[in-house]
Amino acid sequence: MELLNRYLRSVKPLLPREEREDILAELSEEIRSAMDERERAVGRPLTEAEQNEILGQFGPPLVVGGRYRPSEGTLSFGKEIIGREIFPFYVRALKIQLGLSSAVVCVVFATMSFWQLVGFDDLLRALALQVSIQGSVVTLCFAYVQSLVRRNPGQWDLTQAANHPAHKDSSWSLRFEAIVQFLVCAALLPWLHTAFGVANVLSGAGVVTAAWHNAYWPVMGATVATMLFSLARVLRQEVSSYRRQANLALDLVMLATSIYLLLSGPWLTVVNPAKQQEIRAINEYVFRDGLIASTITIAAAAVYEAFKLLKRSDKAGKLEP
Amino acid sequence: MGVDQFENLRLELRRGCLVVAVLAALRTEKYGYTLRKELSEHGMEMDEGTLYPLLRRLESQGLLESEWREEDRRKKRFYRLSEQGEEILGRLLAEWKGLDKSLEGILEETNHGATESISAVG
Repeated sequence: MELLNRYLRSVKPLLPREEREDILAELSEEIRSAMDERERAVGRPLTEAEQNEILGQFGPPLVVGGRYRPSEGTLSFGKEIIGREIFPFYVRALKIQLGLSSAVVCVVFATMSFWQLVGFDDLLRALALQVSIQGSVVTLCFAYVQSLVRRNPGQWDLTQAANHPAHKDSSWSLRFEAIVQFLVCAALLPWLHTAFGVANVLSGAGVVTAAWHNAYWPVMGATVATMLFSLARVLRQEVSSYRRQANLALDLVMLATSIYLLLSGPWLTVVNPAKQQEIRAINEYVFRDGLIASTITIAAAAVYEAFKLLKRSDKAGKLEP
Repeated sequence: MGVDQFENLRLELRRGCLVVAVLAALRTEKYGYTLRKELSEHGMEMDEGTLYPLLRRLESQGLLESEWREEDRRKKRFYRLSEQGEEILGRLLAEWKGLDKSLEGILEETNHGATESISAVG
């Protein structure tokens, strides 16, 4: 019954909190009854594949969890894009996205306003841009998940994960981590585009140098690759076992970029001589200190990931005969 | 496209019937699994993910009552029709019969009209 327990553990956090235990008990009873009946029919205990087949009929945990939530509607443009089962999670993701974007936009603008370089309309424009881009990304992802659920309603395979090293961790926490990683990257993407791709970022007071723009493709590429990897982790649990390698690769790319940028300062050249003092302060306190802090943080993250990888391979080596 | 359209309409048509079927089947007490089997035996297939949320919704609306009891050394949740459910079911069945009669009338009339037109052309 290990598969059943794992299935119930995956469904649990997606259920309404107040009815969670009750629904789980009933769901567990229903699945056990179905398994008992199949066992009686075949006259032996069920294999893992047979148990998995029965669980597959109940549907992916995301869909099962969504069915127990009050209907919040659907997203349709003629054809239904996001169905009622996953719609509550879509709304939740949009809310997180909106909250995250608003917080980041406000912090950045509050910091920039210290040098009086931005107006309120800039803030609104930036917020509208972020929200619309990120909202579209989230919508596309959920539409994709919905289409997968429709195409493969019974393809929830727990046995693959069971035979994989990733199984050591809770399947839900790994999936949740991947979703958070995806959302954070989606929130950062438009920011990174603006920070590294736009020529004049400070209202005519200063222009970023060509060296700064050189970081655009490595940073954007690493972010998009991370998003794709997170999406793959959400859809296929076993991909999670490569997350340390992926994190290390991402850290190394970001570390190299960060060191390159740190060595290529100053990063902002003066356009308006009247703002020379502000530009110097920004170069010193925002760019230099920010890059030093980023480099140290990324290096620490890379060392941590490398240490974890070495520890895992050491453990695997000891287990081999 | 035609298949999708038919499937959507079929699901829409069945959705209301399933509620009536569940209420009718629960005039005698049952737990989820046996209820689903009974519905299936009568040609009202209902997937697991649809039945339980529906039972909860009907219970929260006061149409069903439920109780956890032990059977075969396992705790099961038994559902039955409540008094209010009984009354609503009666009214729904009357409505159902009325609709059925109306539909039959419409079909008879259109069939008759079509036969007359064919005879006139002939």
